[in-house]
Amino acid sequence: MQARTRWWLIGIIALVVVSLVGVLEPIKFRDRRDPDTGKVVQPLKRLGPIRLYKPHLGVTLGLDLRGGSHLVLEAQSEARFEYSAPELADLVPQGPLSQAQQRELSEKKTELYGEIVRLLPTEAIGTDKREVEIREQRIIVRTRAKTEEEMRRQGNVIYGLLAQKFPKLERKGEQLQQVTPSDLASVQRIIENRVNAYGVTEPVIQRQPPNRIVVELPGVKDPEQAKELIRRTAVLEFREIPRKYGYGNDRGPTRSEVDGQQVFTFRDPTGKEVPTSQVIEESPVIVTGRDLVENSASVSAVPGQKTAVHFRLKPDAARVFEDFTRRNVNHYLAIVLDGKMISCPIIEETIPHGEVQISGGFDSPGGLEEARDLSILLNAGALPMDLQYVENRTVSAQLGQDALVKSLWAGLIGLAAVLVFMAAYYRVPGLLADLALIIYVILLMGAIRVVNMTLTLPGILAVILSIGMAVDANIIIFERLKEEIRTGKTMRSAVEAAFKRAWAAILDSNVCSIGTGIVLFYFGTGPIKGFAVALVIGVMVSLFTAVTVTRLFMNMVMGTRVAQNIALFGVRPSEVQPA
Amino acid sequence: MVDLFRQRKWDLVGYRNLWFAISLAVIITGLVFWKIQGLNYGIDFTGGGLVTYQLKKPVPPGKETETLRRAREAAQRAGVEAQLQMAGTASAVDQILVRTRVVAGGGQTEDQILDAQKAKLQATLSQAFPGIREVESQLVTPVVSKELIRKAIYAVAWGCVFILLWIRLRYFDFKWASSALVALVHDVLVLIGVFAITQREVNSPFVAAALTVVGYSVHDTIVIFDRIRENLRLRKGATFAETANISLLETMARSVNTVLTVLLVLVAVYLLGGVSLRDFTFALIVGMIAGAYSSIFNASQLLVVLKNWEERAIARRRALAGRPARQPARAAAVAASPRPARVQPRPAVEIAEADEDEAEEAGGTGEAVEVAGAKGAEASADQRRGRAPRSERRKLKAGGRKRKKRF
Repeated sequence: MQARTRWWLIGIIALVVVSLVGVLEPIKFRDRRDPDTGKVVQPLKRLGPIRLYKPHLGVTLGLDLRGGSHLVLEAQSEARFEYSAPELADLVPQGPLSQAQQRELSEKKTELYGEIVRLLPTEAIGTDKREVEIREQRIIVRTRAKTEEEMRRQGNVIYGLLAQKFPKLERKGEQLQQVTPSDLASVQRIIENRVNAYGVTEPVIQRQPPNRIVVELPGVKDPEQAKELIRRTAVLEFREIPRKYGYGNDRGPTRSEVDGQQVFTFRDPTGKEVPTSQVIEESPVIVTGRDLVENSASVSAVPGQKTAVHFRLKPDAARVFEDFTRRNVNHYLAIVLDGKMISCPIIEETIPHGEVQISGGFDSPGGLEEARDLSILLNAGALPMDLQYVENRTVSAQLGQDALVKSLWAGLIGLAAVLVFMAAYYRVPGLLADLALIIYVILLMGAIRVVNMTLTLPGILAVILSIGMAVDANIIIFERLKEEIRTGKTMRSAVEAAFKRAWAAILDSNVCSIGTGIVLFYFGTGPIKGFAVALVIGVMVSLFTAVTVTRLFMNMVMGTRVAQNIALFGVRPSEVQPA
Repeated sequence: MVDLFRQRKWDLVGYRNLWFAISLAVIITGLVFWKIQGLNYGIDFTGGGLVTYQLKKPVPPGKETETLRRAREAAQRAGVEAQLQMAGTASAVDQILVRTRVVAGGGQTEDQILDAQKAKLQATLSQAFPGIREVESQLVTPVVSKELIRKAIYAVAWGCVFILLWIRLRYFDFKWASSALVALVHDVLVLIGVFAITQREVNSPFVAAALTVVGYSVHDTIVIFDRIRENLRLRKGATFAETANISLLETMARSVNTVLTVLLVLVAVYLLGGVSLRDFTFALIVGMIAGAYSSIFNASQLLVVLKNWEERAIARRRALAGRPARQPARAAAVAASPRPARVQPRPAVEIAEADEDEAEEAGGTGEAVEVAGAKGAEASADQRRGRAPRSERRKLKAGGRKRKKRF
């Protein structure tokens, strides 16, 4: 054996060993334990003196193989309409008011707010979201709209409806608020928080500009619950609870906990319980999550002091809030996230400069946890957009497992068929190609591990397909080899010539496959990308094994007596034309 | 089983009209079905919901229709507008696929509507089939499906651009390139036709399969064309049709075997793999077969037709000009060279001289040097062995073995 051949051989064997070790997770002689709990996750298998784990495929499996949810969320752009209604002027207090006047004013405002909401049914506007806000003499309406055109249409409807009640209504502005990259980044962060809180292993949360977030939850037990949890990133509002439902220490809401969630109970002046949803509906919005400075909510927990949640308001809203709190000390404030009341603090004093602090109620055991929750929710609520699912593909773990086992079996049988075919048709070279093909499969798995590709079902199909294609190069070479032998060359020069002349054709075929693979990768989505990547990697690895490795084996055989029997190469001696 | 094809003296080119007729018949049938039934687009392209339910036990053979009818009734009771289908492996049918129409409205998003549909279906289906479980659920909203369609179109367009460029790179000559292209169009049309006839789902994987097939089939064609080109240089005096036929037979084993190994693994996946891969694999199988057929029976045959026209046209022009007709194969060889050698009226002697040069040129630009080097090495090796240099031997043999590259 030549020195060069030997080094090549050693190199290839080393590659194979490395791939095998990489693919089959290293064997450890201890029980495998969960790093956090210390519980035994996978007990050691004992086979007499040998103790092993079940070999574990060290390749990341896609959701279609291990089960889980692939969710695509779209952050919704929204339209904002602003109107000025001079009729609202008498709602704006002129100068200091007595308590009775203040009460009257707040009741009037509440009533008017309810009227405006009733005036604008979502169906009439043609949207599935409608928020109304009264700020001094202005009415602000927010709806969901995707295009400018849709926004203008909605604007006309809203104007028409509002004008029935406010004849002097004036349009102050229409604006379509698109999702900005930084919005999307915040959404991603918040979803990450939530998914982590939910306890999913190895979740994937990716931005897909301009307005989408892809969430992959492997092995999630209850996909619908997870889905709801993730989407809840939504609208945060600070509402003013009407005085009839509580004021100061008189008839404040009672707080209780049901299924780990806080529930607030309100009573009307007659002492009758009122559903929270009705209270929320009747409470005018003061400021919304949009008015919070992004990610400004935090918790302060200093020993000896009350645990508190802090957040900051943007300047415009800070003024509104200061004004409001000055007039409404002892009123209750409803912090509403997604139509759910998450907190119900009382206004103790005027809050200047938009520096808001919510304290009290967090000092019970578990209060810190609550405070932290609230701050996360506040930050989440500061996001200016709704999320909506536009794609959802959920596979149960059992189906994924089933598909994995089935396709692996199919692959093995396909591989066996190719091995048999090559050996039967091409004899000795065929057997060498078989050996190279087995090495190919091992190296391919190693390569998939190295590039950390996630193996999906179409990816497995590509791997299997590439097994069928990998021998193409061998077929091209061996067909050429037969022709070269027939012309009466010595075996060594025939092999030399066959490899040299087949190379161009091999390169041709592989360039085509790689080219289409790249196109597919670029335009494919999800599993199709997996198919394309596996195909391209497969083609590249097969170039190495089918040409270099086979060549090496052929050279090794050349030194033996096998090389003198051309029948073993699939050529009948009678076919050889004498040189 | 060694060499099934080499010894045959089939006249493949002679039957070319038959091969064209077969292709046309398949394509036209497919197109008629396409026109009548349309394609069964999957939810990737139409949007909607697809829910897979797993039965507790496989349906006994022969009971599939009855099970499907019961499932349909259950879906009707649930008040869900849906198309149902039985699925499973060849040996065990144990899944029901329910495809629903999901339209947002009434203040509800598509996602919420599908969830509601699923809740209703689960209720009525588990009445009809106790122990039934939902194992897979997919929702594609119209926004996404529009995007998937756009991406599919882009993928196909860029795939075409890539392949056109590739063919253009390999063949400057219009006739060769267009023959290769027609073969590709043939493959895609057959694929679409078969899917129209079988009403299998046309989804994103279908597009992936089509592109893979086209990429695979184009090189098959190129390999055969290369062999024809090579043989044109070696076999002067033969007509183009004869040369093409011999080239086809010579490359037949390669063409058939490469597709055969791919088909072996694909059929294994089709029969044994899960339901999810079935349509994808089916598309690949059909496409691979169509591709192999078109490379052998369409592309080269079409080239023969085009060449025949050309030869006749040249002869006619000659006759008009009153000059003696040139050797037909010669004209073909010139036209086949990658550099578009202008067919200029030159004196006969000069043509004979130019012959060798042109053949060298045609052998490829980059490889010429390498081949020359190899020749030198071979010659010296031969001398050491006390044999006549190869170049001498080559001269002795009729037809020669001056193959420089490729099959």
